Amino acid sequence: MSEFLQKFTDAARLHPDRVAYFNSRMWHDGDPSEASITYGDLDRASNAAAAFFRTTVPAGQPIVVYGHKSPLMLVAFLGAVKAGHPYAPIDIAYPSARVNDIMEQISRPLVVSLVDGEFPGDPSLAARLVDKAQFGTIVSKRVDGDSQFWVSGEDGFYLLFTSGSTGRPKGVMMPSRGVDAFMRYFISLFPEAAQRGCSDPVVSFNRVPYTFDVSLFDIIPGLSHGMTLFGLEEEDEASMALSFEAFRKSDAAVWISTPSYMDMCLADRSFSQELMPRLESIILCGEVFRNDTARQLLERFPNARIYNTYGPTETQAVTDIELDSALVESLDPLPVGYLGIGSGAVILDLETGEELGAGEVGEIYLYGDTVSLGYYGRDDLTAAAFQERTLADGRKARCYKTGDRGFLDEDGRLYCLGRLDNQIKLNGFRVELGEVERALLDLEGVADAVVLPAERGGKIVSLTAHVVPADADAPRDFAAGKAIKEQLKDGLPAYMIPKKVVFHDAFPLNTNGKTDRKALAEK
Amino acid sequence: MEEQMLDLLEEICDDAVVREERDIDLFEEGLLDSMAAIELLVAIEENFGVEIAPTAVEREEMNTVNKIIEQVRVRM
Repeated sequence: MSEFLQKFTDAARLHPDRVAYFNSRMWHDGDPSEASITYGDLDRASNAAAAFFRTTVPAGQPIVVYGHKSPLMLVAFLGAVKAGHPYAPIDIAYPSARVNDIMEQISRPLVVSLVDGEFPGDPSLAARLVDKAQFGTIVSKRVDGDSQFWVSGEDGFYLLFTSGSTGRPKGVMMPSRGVDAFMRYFISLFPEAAQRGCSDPVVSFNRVPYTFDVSLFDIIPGLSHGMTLFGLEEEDEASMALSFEAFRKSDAAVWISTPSYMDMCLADRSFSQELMPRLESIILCGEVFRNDTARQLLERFPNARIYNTYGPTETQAVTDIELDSALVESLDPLPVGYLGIGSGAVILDLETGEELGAGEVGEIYLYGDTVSLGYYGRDDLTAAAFQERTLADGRKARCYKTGDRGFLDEDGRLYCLGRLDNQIKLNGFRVELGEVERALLDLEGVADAVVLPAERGGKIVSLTAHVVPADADAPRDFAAGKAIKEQLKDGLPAYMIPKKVVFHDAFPLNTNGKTDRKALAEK
Repeated sequence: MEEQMLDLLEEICDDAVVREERDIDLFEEGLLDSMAAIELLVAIEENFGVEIAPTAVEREEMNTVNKIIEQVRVRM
């Protein structure tokens, strides 16, 4: 039985009136149920949702939840797992073609759409589409919870779709036991008051959308330990002034975001302990945590503990390290951390596959309690990335081949030095360049395409599309580039759209007769 | 100042079109995103000594080349 759900329902019984989640609509006019939910209501409403899902969805099938940061999102997620189903979140940032692709991969799922407007996907791909008003009616019923239906052990808990190099997103399925293991590990990064579940609730701010595994950083340890989660709604995310106002009013003790978002906030001098006096833990994840970011944080938030963490969606976060000034001044790049309880890493030689010793650079393989089940409906991709290996000490372990280049130092700290393939991180978003290239090649008028990251100051800031037009005489001006970008928006989320389109007569070739990506990058 | 601002915008937007099309919405055209906009504000301070806090300007106040140049001009 899910230990997470056990702890969550205990917390709801203990302090039903405590706020479990609120968003920045708290401080705007409007329906208060769109702004916050208590533990008691979240427990009751998710019981009602679970009863509905049990009778309408085939056993174990993922339930698609479309929306952004409404309190009802958590009701749907918990309702799903209480009924024995994984939840598959889709954010409003996804265009309809991507929404449809995910529905096709799950094969006629039940879809809960929690937005005011129309659901952007094709309703005929869903077994049933439940809109916000209908879902509101369903979850207002009084139904007793029944733990015998909860997810447990190897049952899927969440299904997160991430960029796929062949042009389709792939769904990573995390089992219930992985969620429980992650909960036991990650609570150690939170303030002591949260770890003890004490009377004065600890507020945790999380900036990332629910489609990103970092969204679980506070859902899992937080809702199981009586914390109050806080998120920004769309209208406040778009304005730095409104965002800062929400940070100030939130009284947050925990901050969870990508380093890129943290850099954006640090660019404003008012972002400091004075704005958020109660901040105790700052947890960053998702891309390189640079020394300069760490230095500024140590200065602006002298009372907070600052953590670098690491882990792909396929394993959840598996390392952490508290950054202090001694560390920040002596190590560059910064380590991603020590392996958490229940997780391990081995570094394998890129050529021979042999296990390497401390300080030697190779590919990072991760094993342990939070390694996911693999890619939903894609046994081929799962077999290629998840392999059983015999470790140096003779133990057998199922390992995830990360594609990250890195090493372990003498102290057991892991370092991540970049990718071995064409996956990149852009402002914290995981993007397979191959997926963007595939989308370009699918456009009429594009004969060949290569997508490369554009860097400034050693950081990836945007994507550049290099295109060979099918018609050599077609215009190659700004408007032509813009037309290509517009067409891409039908299939890709905004963060995957190249900023610049560069036209070529032909691509340079390397000695193997393949497109020379390096030569293109240097152009 | 204007010429220097255009150089800066061309670098951050990664497109010379900003020299000609000074009233197009840079966010809508995909030439600026929220990260690049912050980067621009930091670069303006480094180059001109003009501080524009990210919380002091809303997106609609700095979404075209002309508006951005004006934001710098009024603070000089």
